[in-house]
Amino acid sequence: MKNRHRLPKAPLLPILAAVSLICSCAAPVAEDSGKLRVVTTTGVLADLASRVAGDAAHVTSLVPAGADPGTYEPSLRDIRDIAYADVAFTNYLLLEQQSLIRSVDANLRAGAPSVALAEAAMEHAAEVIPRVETANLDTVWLGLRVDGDGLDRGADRSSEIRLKATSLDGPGTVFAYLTGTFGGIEPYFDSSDGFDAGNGFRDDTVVLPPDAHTHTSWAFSEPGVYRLTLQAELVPTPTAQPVPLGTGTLVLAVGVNPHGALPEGDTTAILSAGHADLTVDLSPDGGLHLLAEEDGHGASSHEPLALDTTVVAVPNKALTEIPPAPEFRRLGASGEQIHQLPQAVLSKHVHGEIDPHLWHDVRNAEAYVRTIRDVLTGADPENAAAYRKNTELYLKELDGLHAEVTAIVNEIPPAQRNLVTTYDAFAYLGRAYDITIAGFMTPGPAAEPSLADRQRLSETVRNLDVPAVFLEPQLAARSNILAEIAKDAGIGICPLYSDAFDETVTSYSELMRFNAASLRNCLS
Amino acid sequence: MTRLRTQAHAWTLALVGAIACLTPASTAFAAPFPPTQTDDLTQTVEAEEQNVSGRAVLDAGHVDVGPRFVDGRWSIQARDDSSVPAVWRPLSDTVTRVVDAAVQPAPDADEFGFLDAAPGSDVYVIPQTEQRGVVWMGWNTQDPSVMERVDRGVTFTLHGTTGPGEVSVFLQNGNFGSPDVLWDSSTTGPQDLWVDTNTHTHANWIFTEPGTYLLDFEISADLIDGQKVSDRQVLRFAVGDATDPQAAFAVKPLGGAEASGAEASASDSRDAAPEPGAEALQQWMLPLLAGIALVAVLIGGSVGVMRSRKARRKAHRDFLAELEATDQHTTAPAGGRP
Repeated sequence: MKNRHRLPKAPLLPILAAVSLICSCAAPVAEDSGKLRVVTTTGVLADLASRVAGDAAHVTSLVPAGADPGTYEPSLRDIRDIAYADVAFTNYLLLEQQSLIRSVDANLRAGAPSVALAEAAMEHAAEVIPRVETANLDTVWLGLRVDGDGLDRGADRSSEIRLKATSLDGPGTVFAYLTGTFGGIEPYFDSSDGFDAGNGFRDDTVVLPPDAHTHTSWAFSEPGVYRLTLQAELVPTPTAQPVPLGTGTLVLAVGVNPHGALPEGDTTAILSAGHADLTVDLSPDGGLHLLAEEDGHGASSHEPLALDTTVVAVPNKALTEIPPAPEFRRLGASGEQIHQLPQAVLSKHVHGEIDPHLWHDVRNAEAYVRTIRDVLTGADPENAAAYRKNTELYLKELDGLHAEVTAIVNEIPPAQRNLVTTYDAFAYLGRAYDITIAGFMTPGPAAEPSLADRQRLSETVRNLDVPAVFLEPQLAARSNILAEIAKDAGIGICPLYSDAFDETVTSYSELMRFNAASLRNCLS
Repeated sequence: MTRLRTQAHAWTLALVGAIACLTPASTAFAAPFPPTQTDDLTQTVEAEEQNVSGRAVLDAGHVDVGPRFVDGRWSIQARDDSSVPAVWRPLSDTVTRVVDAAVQPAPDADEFGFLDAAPGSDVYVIPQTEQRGVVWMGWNTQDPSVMERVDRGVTFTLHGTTGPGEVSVFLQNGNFGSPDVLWDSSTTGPQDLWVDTNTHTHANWIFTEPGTYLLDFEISADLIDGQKVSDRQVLRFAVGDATDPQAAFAVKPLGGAEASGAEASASDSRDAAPEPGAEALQQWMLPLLAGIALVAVLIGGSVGVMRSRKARRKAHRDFLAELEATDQHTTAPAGGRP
């Protein structure tokens, strides 16, 4: 039985593996009546487990319908359910209230497997999304780069490549810069004082050696579409004539819908995540283009993208207050909100935790179901055939559900698939069904929204012109800042279920179908 | 300054050491992976890059520390990009030299209090952006077999440092935020940093005094096949022109990684060559030791478990009885469950 989230330091693994092996071999100790008793933390997990269990096992959810697993405190009855259980399923530490997980750990009898499904299901190919800790780092990271050594153009290691910004078309100021070790600002491009052809654009020129790369912060004073025109040249030796390497125009959709930044049909790529570099290519047929790497694990691509058909999306989660330092007066007054892409150099998820809401991708729910089948079979081998058959039937149903959800969401025009919610609970839904997570109030119920959060979300709703925001039904009854923002903006408030059932939605399949329909009805 | 130290108790260490013997056999994979052409935007790490031995002082150019499988063993190495093509070196053979050109005045700002340097005083800086003439040290998780076999990411742990001053490592994210401190010598206890696979990072390294510094690093990971691997090595710095980098090879860590070694599942094979006889003996004894260790774990484990299971069973029965008793006086909260 895998029990991974509680395993201590690495070297103990073999011992614990041996221990749990022994436990599970001796596991099914029928203390009284026959059926295997399964306890789960949430209703979603109970539903999945009961479909695998069928009549062969008895499944109970600890968190009742309508309650939030992030805040639910276990009752005495829950403790009893845990104490009598033969198997426990939890989701992942970050979803359930810690006291709930602790109750499961403390009260489950010795030898009964306790499985954290979000982690265990990875063995059945569940695709996880790392948890983002700092939202304003969760953007595309746009650096500058020189590709190639330029040897056949007469360059060597000491040659200079000059990248110059020569003009800007846009609603505000663009400031690209580097933050040094001790916080010093090194300006790269700054539109606030214009672009001076008279001095060769001296104040808007970045000098890089061949084969180099630099991270860059980009700040924008107003939302809207920006077109920044650049030109590149190679200076092989200090006395040599500069060699022109081409010009191009970088298109950025700042806060606004990137689908509308270029004329209809002209957009071939939208960069909204991962590393991308504005690249000077030194090869003979080179020039200026974008190199992008999808933000994924393992697979990364290395494809040049044409500047005139690619849009760099600067999302509204990049909204940040201007700090008091005088270098930033060019962007506005201290405390004003601007959009900024960070120069970030390390991953935006530094603790290695995963986003726990895996089931919003039906294929992940299928991985949960396979894991549940394995665990129940291990704990109750006599009913292995029943568990296998139930699982087969249910997986067929889930395949159909995945196709159905995909089809419903596909009825929404891609440019209108902007999801604004209270919490950051729908990243899997977004990835699986191609919906942009445009904004959320706070990462989860643990964080109280600040005034800045509220301003950021109001601006998101305004900039993207979304027709509706989405609220979890159990939150609708309380006063909710997202609902207030929607009312102020005169737009709709639509239901979207995260992890709790109610009278309307009583199963996992119903939840997914309901959400897909709600998205289509409110965004189309 | 925190001292290098070993945290495991002697007996755990012995047991763990025995288990560690199991690892080489089980991590060895039959055929080498096909060379994968996987690019980060900044660099490509080729599967066929050479591992070299022999002492090297790295004082300029690009160096990354990172995990690599060397003969099937998880191992912390330094990727020296100043040679063409790049080579990987064992940390025990490598001293990173920070020259006087790296000196900058310490900043006068509260957010840099963690540096423990008086404002305006000289500190030695390896910046996150390359400065010509100063070694550019970062880390990567881009070795092709690391990307292939590691589950999502690795943990870098700084266990401790020795040296004449303070060392800190931090990032500037360029998002108007404060410096993001990753490791700080004045913090006690192990300091973990999660690093995704296929990433390459440069941070700012600050040394407050010239001299020799040893940083006791461990890199550990879960592999996709469920195994756990770790290696623990000392990263050596000679800071300041007046510090003899050769001397840094000689400084022994105080009871730290190289002395203990046993915590790492891949350990000392490439450190100072053992006597040929000893090496042969080790090779020969491996399967035997592995067998002994396995039996010991199973026996030790199961006896302990059986005893504790029995005790826990009784406790559990008592607990249930108590629950039933309580339940009679308590109205169970309304359920409303599905």
